[in-house]
Amino acid sequence: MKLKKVRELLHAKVLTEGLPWENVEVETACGADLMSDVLAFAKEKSLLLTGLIYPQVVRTSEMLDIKAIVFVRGKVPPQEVIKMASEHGLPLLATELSMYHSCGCLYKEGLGLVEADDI
Amino acid sequence: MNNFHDSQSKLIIEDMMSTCVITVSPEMTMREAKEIMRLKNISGMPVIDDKKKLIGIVTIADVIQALDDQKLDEKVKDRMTLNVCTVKPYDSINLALSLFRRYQYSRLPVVNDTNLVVGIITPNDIVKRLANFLKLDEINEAHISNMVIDETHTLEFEIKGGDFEKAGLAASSLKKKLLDLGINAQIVRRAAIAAYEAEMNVVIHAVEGILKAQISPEKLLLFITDQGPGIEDIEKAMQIGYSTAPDQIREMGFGAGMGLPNIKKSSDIFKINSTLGKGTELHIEIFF
Repeated sequence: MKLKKVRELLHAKVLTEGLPWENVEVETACGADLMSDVLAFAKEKSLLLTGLIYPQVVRTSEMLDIKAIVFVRGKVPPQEVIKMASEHGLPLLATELSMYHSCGCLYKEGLGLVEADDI
Repeated sequence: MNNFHDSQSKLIIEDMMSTCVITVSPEMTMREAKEIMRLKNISGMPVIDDKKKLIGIVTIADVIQALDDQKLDEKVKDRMTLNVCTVKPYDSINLALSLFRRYQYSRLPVVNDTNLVVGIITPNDIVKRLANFLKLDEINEAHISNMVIDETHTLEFEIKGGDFEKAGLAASSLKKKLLDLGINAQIVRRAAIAAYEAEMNVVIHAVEGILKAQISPEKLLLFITDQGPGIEDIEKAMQIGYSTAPDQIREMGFGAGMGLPNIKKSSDIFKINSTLGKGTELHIEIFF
């Protein structure tokens, strides 16, 4: 799914300026506030949805080749975090929707649908 | 292979060129140009005028000639190679390949229609991208690794306990280095996870520590040693969910008791030694 579509579905705004984002492709998503879990379970080419706005969220995403981050529940990270993400070419989005609602919207539209065999 | 041939004809220079070009001014001396080449470990640089238009190229061969003539203090403009063979961003890769083959060039400056330098392409750029394109790195990553790493690289990083601002910088630098060396992206990802978790452990628990990385053609060796409280019960610490991290760390999304198990999961060989009141040592190996 393209990030353009993700933004539409979540009514999100884009926080990183001047960074190409619309055509960034994500294959699946990972919704977590626990970076430890993200580090242990996130798949490649993922979108990360989180309510945490610490710099470590960007750092963790960098390690895992996360393609973009959506901050949920109306959270917006401080400017330094946005700057850090821009430097790493990592688009940041922010939505007012809750984690559950955001993940639900994306899943319903087919992002990273899990087959019964995968569970 | 058929797919590859079909796509090859569509590949253009822009897809494979490097856009980070080191250029020199014609007014520079050959001695200065030689220094840049030595420091940047490159064998040639486009020479551009003040409007960034290409006017020549200066190579190691020009430097050697200047050295031989004892003319290292002459200006680049008087010693550079004129009539540079260039390519355009929209030219096919086949053109670059045939130029490399025919003239044994080591690099080709890429210029746009107004002769501005927009990139540079080397045979190595093409090899790297094609390997990636053909997914050679997935099929036989050892070959690519052997090709790129011809010596052991050692990196060392100091890690300060409690410095969350810088936490992750060591793992980040290591990741970049591995990617630069052409290591398979999935292996780099595992290495980055292991290094990052280990680095976070030092930041969270220890006073200070050192992350040392040795990259050889066969594997990545990571040693992480710290001066800290040590681990009382390693077996317990290796259990998923066991953690002694303080609440403030948990607020940042860490300290969930996943670190050590995740390092073990990400590495091929994992050893841990810890002395209470002294510190902890990790030994991690990841094969290429």
